[in-house]
Amino acid sequence: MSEHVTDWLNAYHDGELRGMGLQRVESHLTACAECRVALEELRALSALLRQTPPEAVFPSAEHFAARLALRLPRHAGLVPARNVWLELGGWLATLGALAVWLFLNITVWVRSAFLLALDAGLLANLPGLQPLPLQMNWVAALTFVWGDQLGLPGQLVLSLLNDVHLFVIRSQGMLFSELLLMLLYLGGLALWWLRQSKSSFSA
Amino acid sequence: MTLSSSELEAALIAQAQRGDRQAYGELVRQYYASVVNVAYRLCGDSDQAQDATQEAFLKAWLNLPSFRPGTSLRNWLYRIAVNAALDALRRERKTIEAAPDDLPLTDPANGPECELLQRERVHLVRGALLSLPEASRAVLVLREYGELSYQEIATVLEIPIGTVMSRLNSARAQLKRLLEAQRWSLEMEYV
Repeated sequence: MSEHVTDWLNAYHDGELRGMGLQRVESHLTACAECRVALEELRALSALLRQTPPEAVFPSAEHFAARLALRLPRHAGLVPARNVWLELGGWLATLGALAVWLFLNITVWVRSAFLLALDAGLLANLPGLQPLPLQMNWVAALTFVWGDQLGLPGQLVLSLLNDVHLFVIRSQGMLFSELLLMLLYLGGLALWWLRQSKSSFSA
Repeated sequence: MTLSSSELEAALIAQAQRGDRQAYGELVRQYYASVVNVAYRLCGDSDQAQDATQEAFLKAWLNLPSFRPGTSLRNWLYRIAVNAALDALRRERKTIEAAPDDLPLTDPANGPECELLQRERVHLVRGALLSLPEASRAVLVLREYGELSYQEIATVLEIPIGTVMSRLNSARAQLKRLLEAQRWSLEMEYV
């Protein structure tokens, strides 16, 4: 015989078991007299609790409701006015975040396509479409003035600073958009939380 | 067109949320019996239970605007009533008093022996329930008298469902031991 199902008998008795758990308990009960007795005891206990009347007599619902009505505060029970700005703000922040996300993705894809085409030389004949400069003006000026005196380490540092500047220039639009998206998302989340916390009640 | 009971209740709640005392009175009449029963089984004292019930319905009225439509009003009331009853218990600890002799527990036609037995049983059950720890008692009372599911009990008491199961198991086991210790034979009474 399988292991006793004592731990699951309460849940079984209360109709809280489903699926495999229910099948396991039922099949065990058909074979185990000990667990059947334990289940019967649980049933008897529940019956005893439920069928035992209270040791007191309470006023009728009608009487209680009438007495309570006299004690109800006058101004309670008014639904608070909906804060339209709060709700509108929440929706606008959500829609704004969606719009920025769409814009960002489309821009990145179009830009990638153009850069690919530029690198492949497909757009070489189009006026105004030139690849970004690879050397910043201030780096070029420094190299022109002190290039000979900088030596190899100095030129390496200068080249590194140039790359960092290029990276910042190329990615700052993206970073700004990401930041804006994050702020809008967090703003929407904060407004939603504010609405929820206003409407919930824990007594 | 006739409204279903849930639609009728939703309409009453909406009216009460707008300050309609009559609608709230209807809701009170509907839930009073079950709320006072749960409060009584938790407190074990009729005065405390009535005070807790009144406090619960007053609190519910004050906070009704924040009640979310679509959720269970009964469970919400239970939550408030359980908190009120436990607060009342902590404020004022009362000893268990014997049942008043004039309390009509059974039909007098059944005879004095039957009535005596019933009175003894009522007293025993109340005493056994009150000897349980408050946390376990609250779970057991909501299950047996509130007739809530495990999930509903977990929501009302704000505890995990696993805790509901373990507290219920331990409450029933302890209750069984207590009643057996009192030489109370469940089988003899209810078979």
